[in-house]
Amino acid sequence: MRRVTRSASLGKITSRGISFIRESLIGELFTNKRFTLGFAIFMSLVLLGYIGSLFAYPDPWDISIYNPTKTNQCIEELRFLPPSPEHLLGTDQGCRDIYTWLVVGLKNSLWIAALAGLISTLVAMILGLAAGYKGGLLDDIINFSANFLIVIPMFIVLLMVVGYVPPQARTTMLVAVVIGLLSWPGPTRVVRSMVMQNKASDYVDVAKLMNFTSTEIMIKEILPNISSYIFLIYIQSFSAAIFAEVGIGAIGYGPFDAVTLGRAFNNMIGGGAVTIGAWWWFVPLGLVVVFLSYSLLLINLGLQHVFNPRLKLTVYAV
Amino acid sequence: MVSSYTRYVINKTITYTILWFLAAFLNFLLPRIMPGDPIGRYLETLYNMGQAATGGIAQVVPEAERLRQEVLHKFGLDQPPLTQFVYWFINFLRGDWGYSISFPNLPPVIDLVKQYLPNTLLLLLPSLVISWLVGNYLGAYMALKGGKIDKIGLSSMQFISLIPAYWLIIVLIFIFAVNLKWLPVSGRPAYIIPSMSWDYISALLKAWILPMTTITIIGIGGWSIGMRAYVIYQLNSNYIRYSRALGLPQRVLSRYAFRNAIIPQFTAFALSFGGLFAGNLLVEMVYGYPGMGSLLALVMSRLDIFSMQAIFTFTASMILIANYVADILYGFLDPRIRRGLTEAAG
Repeated sequence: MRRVTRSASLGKITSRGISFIRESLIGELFTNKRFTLGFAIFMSLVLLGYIGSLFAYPDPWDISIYNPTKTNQCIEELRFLPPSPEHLLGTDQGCRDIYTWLVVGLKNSLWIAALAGLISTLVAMILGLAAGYKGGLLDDIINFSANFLIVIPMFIVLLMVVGYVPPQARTTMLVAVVIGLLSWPGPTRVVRSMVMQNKASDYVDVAKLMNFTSTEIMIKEILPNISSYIFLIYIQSFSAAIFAEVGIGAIGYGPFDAVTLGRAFNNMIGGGAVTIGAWWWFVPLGLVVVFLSYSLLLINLGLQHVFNPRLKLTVYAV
Repeated sequence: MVSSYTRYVINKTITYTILWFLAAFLNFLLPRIMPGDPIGRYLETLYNMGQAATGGIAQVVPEAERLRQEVLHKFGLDQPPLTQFVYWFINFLRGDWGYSISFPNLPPVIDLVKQYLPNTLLLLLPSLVISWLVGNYLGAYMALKGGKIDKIGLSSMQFISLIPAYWLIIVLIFIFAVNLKWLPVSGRPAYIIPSMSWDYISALLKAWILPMTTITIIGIGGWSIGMRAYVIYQLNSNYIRYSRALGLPQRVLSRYAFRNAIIPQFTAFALSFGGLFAGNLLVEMVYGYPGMGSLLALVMSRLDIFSMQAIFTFTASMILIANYVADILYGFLDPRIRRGLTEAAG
């Protein structure tokens, strides 16, 4: 990276400052159209979750605030309301505010995806490093398990696991951990092949000659070299986790203790939004999920282009 | 040469047999290590039904423990786990998949699958074929045209492939069933008993159109993205450059690129079955189409572990078989790969 030298002329500083930003990684990212668009969509959705919840009711379950009877008992006049300044997206079958459900669900789903993505990326990183660098029996076992879990779609295994868990045990944390622990096979194979490529390179040989232990080589030498790919993997896992959570949530097997996008979907399907023609109910929900995944795809494509234009990472969808 | 290809086939057969065995074992293990009380739930259902039938006799509580033991014995759940697994596995192979406790008359699970599976296949197979053909055509078209068509086409296909199927069907229901009233709002032909009568078949066909359209549209997105990438890869390869330098017309070049690009799509055709099956489950559950998805939703909601075990194992078996066939066919379709495999193995 080029060092910025201070200059007496103010004009020079700014021009050098700008060129420095352009040449740095982040600056380069924002010259990429796909990344910029994806990032803008993603950030506006995050803001919708956080700033948007300032305009929402504090508790998605509590209807007593706007209920004329001041109780949590749903009354007929408050049920299935169309959008109004008081209820931006109307109300559902239980008189609950749909807009509140959307923003709270979005926030919680983002957290679940962030955690699940982190878990699967960490597992993939550890297993991929171990399998790719150590080789031998360990590699055989890890590779076989990864191939096994890839053959059967992750969603079916996920459905199997959450289906056997009783409802009260399905917490947000559990769902995030289960999604994370089930989505490592694809990422692990990518990390493994990256590590195997790096293992054959000269710098690893030099490190070996310098008497580095294999753990040191893995963590200090190989890991920094593949970190950009690991970041890409994280974004893909994040996106896959959103899909997985909304999928199981939509059929009623998502977290029990929190409102998520999946739960909001389930509520929308159960409430018969489509039969009463409440497009203001199901259109925003679906668009949030679609734009979330699309923005993550754009970010990923942009990053791939910047990190390595020749890179071909398989996009493993659920 | 022949013997090494045979070795490859044997190798794959052994691997897939182990995978299948593992899948079955996992399915057996999971419900047993999870918390939850399916037998209690079943007894509760029976109790509620009995109460409704007899007008509420509250004398069941001391009987509950004896009843539970009786049920455990009846289902063989008092045997050691390993014995249970062996029995279950052998019975599964023989086509005895146990009895569903979702229904009071305990129908055999295999009968339920026989009833619901044809409907799902009726949905999946045509959709797979149509989306494969249309998707490949569109993908090749985008790649060969290039420029604006390619750019706009790719973005829209990426967008389409990311739409959750269970949401797309809701939008389609809204347009075609609620507003235009052309098709039923729910795929559940509830009031008609399954039969070969025209009433039932027409009701099923009407319920079939929307889920079929949904998974086909989303499938087209995925196929066209893949095909576009393969065709572009071929167009950049040396043989095309050489042929172009020789002055061959674009029409011939396109045909060359298309033929080579379609080969991986053939294997992907078989491999995509598992993912399609999984995605379709949600569509069926949302629309209530009488297929495997709806059956699975029903038995899952009733904590019916016997049916869940059988259905999940069956699903996994189908997916593994599809993958196995794809792996074996892989070598036959492309002579270069066949040679590569035999050289690597031999």
